[in-house]
Formats: sequence, C-alpha cells, structure tokens
Amino acid sequence: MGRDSNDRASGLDAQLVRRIRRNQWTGAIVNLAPSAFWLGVFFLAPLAVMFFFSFGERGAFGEVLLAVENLGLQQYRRFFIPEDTSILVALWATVAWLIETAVPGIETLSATQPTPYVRLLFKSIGYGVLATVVSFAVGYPMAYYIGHIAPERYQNLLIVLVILPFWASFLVRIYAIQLLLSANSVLMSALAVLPFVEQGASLMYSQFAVLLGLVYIWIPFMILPVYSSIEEIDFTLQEAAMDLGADRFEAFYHVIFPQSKPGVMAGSVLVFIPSAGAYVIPELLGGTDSQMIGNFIASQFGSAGNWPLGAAGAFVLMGVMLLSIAAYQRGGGELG
Amino acid sequence: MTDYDVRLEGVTKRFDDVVAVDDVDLRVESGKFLTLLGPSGCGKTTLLRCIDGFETPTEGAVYIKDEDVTNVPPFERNTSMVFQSYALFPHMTVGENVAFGLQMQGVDDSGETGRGGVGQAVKRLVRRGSNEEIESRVEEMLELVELPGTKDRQISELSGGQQQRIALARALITEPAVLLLDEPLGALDLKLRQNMQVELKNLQEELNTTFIYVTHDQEEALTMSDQIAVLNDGHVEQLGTATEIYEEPATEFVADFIGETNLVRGDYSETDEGATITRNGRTYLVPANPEARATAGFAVRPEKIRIGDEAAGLDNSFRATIIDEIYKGNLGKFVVELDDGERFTVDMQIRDQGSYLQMGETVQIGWAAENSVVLTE
Repeated sequence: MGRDSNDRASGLDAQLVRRIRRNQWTGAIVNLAPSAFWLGVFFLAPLAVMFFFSFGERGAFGEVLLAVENLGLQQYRRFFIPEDTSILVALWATVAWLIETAVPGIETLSATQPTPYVRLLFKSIGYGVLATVVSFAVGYPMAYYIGHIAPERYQNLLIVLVILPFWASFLVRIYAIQLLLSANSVLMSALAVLPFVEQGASLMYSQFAVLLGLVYIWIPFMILPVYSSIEEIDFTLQEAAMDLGADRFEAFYHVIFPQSKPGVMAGSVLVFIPSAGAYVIPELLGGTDSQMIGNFIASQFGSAGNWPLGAAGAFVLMGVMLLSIAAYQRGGGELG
Repeated sequence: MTDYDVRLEGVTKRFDDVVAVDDVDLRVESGKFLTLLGPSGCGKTTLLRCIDGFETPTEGAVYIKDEDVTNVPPFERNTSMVFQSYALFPHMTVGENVAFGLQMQGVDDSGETGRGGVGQAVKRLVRRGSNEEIESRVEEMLELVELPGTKDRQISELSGGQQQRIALARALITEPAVLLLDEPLGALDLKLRQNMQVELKNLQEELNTTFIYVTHDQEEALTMSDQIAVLNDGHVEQLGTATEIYEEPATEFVADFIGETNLVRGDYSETDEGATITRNGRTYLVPANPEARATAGFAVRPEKIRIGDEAAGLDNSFRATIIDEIYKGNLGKFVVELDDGERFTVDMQIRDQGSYLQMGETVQIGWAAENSVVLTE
C-alpha cells in the first residue's frame, strides 16, 4: 500500500512538473532563472555600477565622488574633447588625425591633436582590424583545407589540433611567445644567421610582437566558424560554376566564398572584439609604443586611480564592440 | 557522313584498382537524345563526367564536335550539366543563376563573347556582365522553361520542379553543343517526373540540341530516348533505339534489366526447320541467331505470351498451372508452371468481366517463335 501511494505521489509530481514546463511563462522562468541570476548578480549589476561611476568624478585621494553636483558627462568629454576646444573642433581634429595617419604626406590638416585617449582607441581598433585581417588570411586557407580538402578521417584530428593551444594557460602561451621573440632565443639566433639581421636583435616589445600575440591567441576563433561553414558547402556548386565557364578561382570567388561568408563574419567578430580590447597581450609583449585602450583602462583602475575615467573608457570601448556586432548583423550574419 | 557531337574512343577510367569505365566507344549523333542506362555503379555517371571534363579518362579520347577535348578543363568545354541536386547557387537570385554562364563567357551588349584580357577577367570578377543582351537572354530562357518573370525570386522560394527548370535554363543559356543530365528527375515525385519527361523530350526536339541523359530508370529511358546505351560494369552492353533495346535485347543483362522478361537457358541448335533451344527435354522454337553459342538463352516478354484458347496452335504451346496471380487493374499478372517445373510470367489483358483466372487452374499458354529472342551472352 505504501508503494502504491508513493507511485501516485510521484505521478502527481511528474504531472505538475510537466505542467510547469509546458506553460510558457513558468517554463521560461524555470529554464532561465539560474542563468539570469548568475548573469544578473555577477555581470549586469557590476556593469550598472560601473556605468554609474563613469558619470562621477575623481576625488583628491582617488575615491569616486557620486554626489548629485559631481554627476555629469565630464569623463566622456575628457575622453573625446581636448581641453579648451569645442565638440566640432575635436571631431575635425580626430578626422584630420586619422587622415594624417592613413595618408603619408599629409601632415598639417589640423593644429589641434585629438586626445591621447581617442588616439589610443583608434590604435586599438587598428590592432583589432589588423589581427582580424591576418587571422583571416592565415586561417581561411587552413579552414578550407580542414573542411574540404583533408580526408574526412583526419578532420576531427585537425580540429583538435586547432583547439589544442587552449589546453595550456593563456599566460603560459604569451610567455612562450616572449621566449621565442626575445634576444638570443632559438628563433632569433637562427634568424641572426641571415646577413641583414643584427646580432642580439629582439622582436619583443614591439607592435609586431603584439600583433603576433593577438593573431596567435585568437586565430582558432577564426578557423572554427569558417571551417564549420565550409564543411557544410555542397561542392557540386563549384562544379556547376566551372561547368558554366568559371575557372577555378572564379568558381571559388563567386560561389564557394560567398557560401562561407557567414563563418568569415562570425570569425571576424570573434577575433576583432577580444583583439581590440586586449590588455594582457600588449602588457606583456608590447613596448611603450604599443599600448592599447585596454592598458589605459587598467591603469585608470590601478596606478592612475581614476575609476570614473576608466569606467568611461570601458563603456566607449564597449560601444565600439557593439557597433562591430551591428555591422556584422548588417552584413547578413547571424550570431551563433 | 553522319555528324557526331560526342565521340568516345576507348575511354577507360580507373580509380585505383576499380575500373569504373571499361573501354567504351560511343558516338552520339547531333541533335539526338541519348540515354546512358544502367544500375547504380555501372559507370554511367563517371562516363558523363568524362564528357563534361570533371574526370580525365585513364585511357582513350573524348571528342566534342570532332575536337579532341580529352585534356580540356570543364570550363573550356562546350558542354553543360544539369546536376542531380540541381546545384543552383543559393546566394543568387533566379536571374543571377541563369545569367551566370553568360557572365562567365563575357557576353557583351552585341552578344559577342570573349574571355581574353585583363579587362574581361575583372569584368567576370565583378560579374558586371549584366547588360541588355544578357537580360534579354535570361528572360528568353525563363520563358523557355515556362517560368517567366521569376528573375528576382530566391532559389529557396522555388519548388523542386521549378528548381529543376531553373537548372535547365541555367545550363542551356550558354547554348552548349551537348547538354548532360545526371538523373535530373530523381528527386521529383512520380507525377511531376512523368510530366518533366515529356517536357524534356519536347524541349530537346525544339532546341535540336544533343542531350545525354543518365538514369537507372528504364521506363524513363524508354520514354525519352532516341538512343539508349545500356551500361553494365563499365562497358556498353547494347546501343540501340528504345524498340531495339526492348524487343531485341542483345544480352541476358539487357533482357533482364529492361522491363520484365522470362529467361530460359538451354542447348541451342539450328536445323532446316528452324532454331531450337532445349531445356529439360523440352524443345522451344526460337528465331535463328547466327551469333548464338551452343549453350544460349532466350527471352520472351510476359505480354508476348498468350493465355487460354488463343495460345493453342502457336509455335510454342504448352499446358501450365497457375501458381501465382497479381491483380493490377488493367491486367492480370500470372505466374504459371509447366509440368517440368519451368516457370513463366504472363500478362493478360482483362477484356471481359469474369475472365480473370484463378490459382491452380490449368491453362494453355503459347507464343510465336519470332516473339522471343535468342541472347548472345
């Protein structure tokens, strides 16, 4: 009899659980509550606090002043607009500086320089774009090879090899690059054999080292999505294109590459965002000329002791990343 | 002299140790509809790919319009393929799909083609071939396949049958010397398939283009083809018209593969009165075949065997017992057994109500000698 009632009770429980699951409101709550709680407490709440801080002011001793009379856009103003100038001047100064940097020969478009923060921001975006372009150039052929050319039985092995670096700590891998690039390392000694390479030369603490580090760390995020879209392509399409008179390259360009575009877009966003926001890589591999916005933000929270400016910088960077995602979605991709 | 659009000479294709195509000689007359028919794995698709250029024969030569194209890449051959999966470009509209071939040929406003030069190469890269000439030919093609005004539609919006037509339009727009079709109707349902069979044949006659069609469906082959090449194990078993293939199969394989047939193997002998095949002491009268060997088989189609009174007095006439029957509506299919255990399948038109036969009934069956055929292998 005891068993019988137990069965009935568990039957009722099961029925209740099913009803809770099927109802669209309770179902959503039951399924989303754990992650909502986690993200809410550990992500959204601190983020909201930081957002609030970014409107505050730094006190004399590095504390954050958040009284009503302290609140305002002054940190953002400080970030974007050089002192004693207007928004328009700052805007022109930024555009002029970008043109001056991009086009050699043009040097005196604007007397005013944009703020060092803005310059740092664009430099970081530049790093992000470069890292993305290099990852694409190096990663695409590899993804193509794994997804299409390699015998199917080796595909999984090759993918594991791509992911393999993740088994070692991020820091360990950065230090490994340091070892490789510093003076008298195996690589540099080998290079020194060449007549035009100086003895004891080092590639460390340079923009090159930062870019190398960024590409090395983030390239799997380019390879994996590109691989997965190439793997799904029906290569009869390539034959169809060639049948219609396209040579090998044209068939790739008009038919295969467009099919792999979702993967390329996803990979680009996945490489660009962490690259532009990098902190550890420029810290450990870069010199004074190769710091990025991430280092600036970190220093504001650390040695400079200006949390409001650091917070403002962090949200500006976040804005850039949101823009890159928006551009990605415009480009026809879908996240995930 | 007959004009051949496609000529294969001793074409052999080996993959490692597997011989997919074995020393095939084939000539396809201009403007004909040729079907390569055979079971899966008989090499018919490989043969098609040799003609299109996606495979290079291990031995032998391929000629298109009397030009040796054995080592010419597919994009420089004047052939077009309709793929089994259609292989339409999913990221392009219907119009872009159909225009692709012309753009790759670099067709300009005056209809001239040209692939030479850097300018042409750049033009193909940006696919700016889109000019009035191409536009009008795309529209023409869409009308030909009875889908006018669908230029701006997405491929995914089309049904399977419509995709099939677009694939045809895309392949035909470059006015190929030969259109190759690799089981293009395989994915369609029966009704649609039958309609498309007729339409394809009409289209072929209208355009007077040589079609080479690959299928394993013998009914499809019989319906559409001017010529059928029956393939088995990489070689051509028989080449002939639909009637020849059906009525006078050359080999056992062909007789067995095309339609239903009764096959009897025995000792062949020729006398003044005619030829016979003897099996289990029973002698069957057959038409003489000078190529037949001492041990040969003959085939007789189920519909060629009469049943009942009309069977009496024919060259071959025997008493038999009905051991199985299948009612098919328009006809009855009976399996009958002679007293020596030899079995035959017989089709009977059910012309009168109540004339249907029952299991176990003893009946007379018979056929004229000329309605059977002696096989060589």
